Amino acid sequence: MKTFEEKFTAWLDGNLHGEDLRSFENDSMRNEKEEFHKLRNLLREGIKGCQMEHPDFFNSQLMAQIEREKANGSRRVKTWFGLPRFAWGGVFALVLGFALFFTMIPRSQIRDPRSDYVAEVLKAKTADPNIKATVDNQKDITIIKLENLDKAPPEKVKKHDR
Amino acid sequence: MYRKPVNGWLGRGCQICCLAASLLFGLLAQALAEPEPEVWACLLYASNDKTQGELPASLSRYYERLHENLGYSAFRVVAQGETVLKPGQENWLKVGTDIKVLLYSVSRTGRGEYTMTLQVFDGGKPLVETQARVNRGSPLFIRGPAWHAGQLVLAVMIES
Repeated sequence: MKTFEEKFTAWLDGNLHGEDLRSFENDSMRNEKEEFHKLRNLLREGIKGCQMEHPDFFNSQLMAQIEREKANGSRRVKTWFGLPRFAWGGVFALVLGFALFFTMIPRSQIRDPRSDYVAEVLKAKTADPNIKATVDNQKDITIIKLENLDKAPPEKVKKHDR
Repeated sequence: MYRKPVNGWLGRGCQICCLAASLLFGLLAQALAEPEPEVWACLLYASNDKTQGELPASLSRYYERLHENLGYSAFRVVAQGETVLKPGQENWLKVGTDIKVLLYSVSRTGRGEYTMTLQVFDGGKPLVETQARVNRGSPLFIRGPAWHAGQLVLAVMIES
């Protein structure tokens, strides 16, 4: 089924027949058609293609210009800022950054300050049942206290004795 | 159009970048591979002598706490020793002539701490055996027998 635009175009061109043609036949549409024909004739008369005076010379100049540009393009020096070089530069910078981070920053200083002192006794036992081991686990010091030990003889530590 | 032939998929610039990156990764790996830690032990003579003595630099910040907990005001180094702590091995540490410390079942936790079994011998006789979790630079103190007018105290520490 034809749309209104198709029927209207066919009517303007004189290709509409039968029932469709009759539906367009009234005064206002006829005026419309006359206006359209006037406009079309004006456009046909006013706009004409201009003839080039020396078309072969123009074509040869154009082709010579294209050839020159092609030659310049092939001689162009590769710059340092190509996309692959940017990508490799990025990878290199990333690796350098990681390397400097791990080598230059002392990791002992970024340790959690709360875990500065860690010496926790999980289990303590003595071989001699008479000796008692008491563990004094504190926040900043841990001492295993051995009780009931015999007094060490004065010559025990010979080298550094008083 | 003439195109410069490329060696595989890597140009010269890329090859230099790869070489530099490999070198940096090597340096990084070397920096990350920590050397085996050294364990140090120090036998202290704790007393209330007027001559104060001096704690080693690594223990000096524990003076107040030792004073509070042991009741002695003067600490003097009588003997000390150190050895490399090798995980999975028995590590013997000799402190002076009679005291020996055996460290074994050494393992390192994800937080950089060490768990180990520590056994103290006095003249070949086992004195105490303990399982402990320590980090580098944190000494574990063992109060030993009375000696002269004071007491012997053993400090064992993984050096930082």
